[in-house]
Amino acid sequence: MEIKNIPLVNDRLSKEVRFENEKRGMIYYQMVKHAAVAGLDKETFARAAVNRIGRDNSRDFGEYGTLPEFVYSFMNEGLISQFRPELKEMDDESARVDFHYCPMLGGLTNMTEDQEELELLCDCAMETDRGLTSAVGLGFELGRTIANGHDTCELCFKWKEKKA
Amino acid sequence: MKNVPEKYIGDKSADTLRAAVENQAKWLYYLTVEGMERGLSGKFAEDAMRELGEYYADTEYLDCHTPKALAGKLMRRSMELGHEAEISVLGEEGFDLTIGYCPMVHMWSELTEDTERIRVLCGAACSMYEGIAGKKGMHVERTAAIAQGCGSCCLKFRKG
Repeated sequence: MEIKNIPLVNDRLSKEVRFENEKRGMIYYQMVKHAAVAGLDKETFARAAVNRIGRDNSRDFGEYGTLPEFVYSFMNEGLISQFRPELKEMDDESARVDFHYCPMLGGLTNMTEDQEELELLCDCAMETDRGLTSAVGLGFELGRTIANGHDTCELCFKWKEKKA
Repeated sequence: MKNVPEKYIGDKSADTLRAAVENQAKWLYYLTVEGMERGLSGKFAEDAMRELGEYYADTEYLDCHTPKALAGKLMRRSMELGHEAEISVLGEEGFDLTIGYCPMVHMWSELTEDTERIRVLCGAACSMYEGIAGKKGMHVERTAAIAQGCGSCCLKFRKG
């Protein structure tokens, strides 16, 4: 299935930031590749490392009492300019945010055309969101993805009642 | 370790580019640390970044056949604004890239107080420049590094 991952915002600053974000994707690719060359299991290594990044990202999220508060915090200015997220649906129990472009995948596709590897590395990269949501006490499901040939990546957030 | 931005304070472009580089640094940090905690030496990160540099040499910097051309192309806005970088020496045999502030070191300093770990990460990140230079018939000598307590970083790119 052909990957359609076309950047939609092309002002000077957005292009420069995209260059840096694609570079992040390429750093990720090379680090996983060389960890595997050195003997580590590619998927186990990538998921563990990236999940830690997501958990660390939770430091940037303040206190919130509802799912919409989290989602509006998640959809910050940096995310909007780079991933073109669209809030597809949201109530107090669940929310779905679709990404129309992924600069990380843009970097990965510079490194390999292997569809199976792209899908694996994309799913492992989403450990950032799994790590983040687990750290802040939310549920998370990944739906269709651009790496799998779809038009968008579907991120589904689920509210969990906080324990007293 | 002294690493404080002195230019472009409050400049939105500089802040945005620094944030993007800090995010790169966070990914490099956790990927390196995870590998080292699983028994690898820092060499795997150096190898990874060197190969990325070789990729850039063959793509982004493909047409840079002279030190002057490469120096000019390396000075992206993220280097100028985000790193307070400049080409301080430029000649037929090479150039010096000076970096006044490092967003990567800034991020690593938030994540750890282990200065040796930061030096390993800095060495890995700079391996990207070795990869670029090597493909262009040059080599790089790092004569100063913020991560080693210097006030700035100096990367000397020279032919041969």
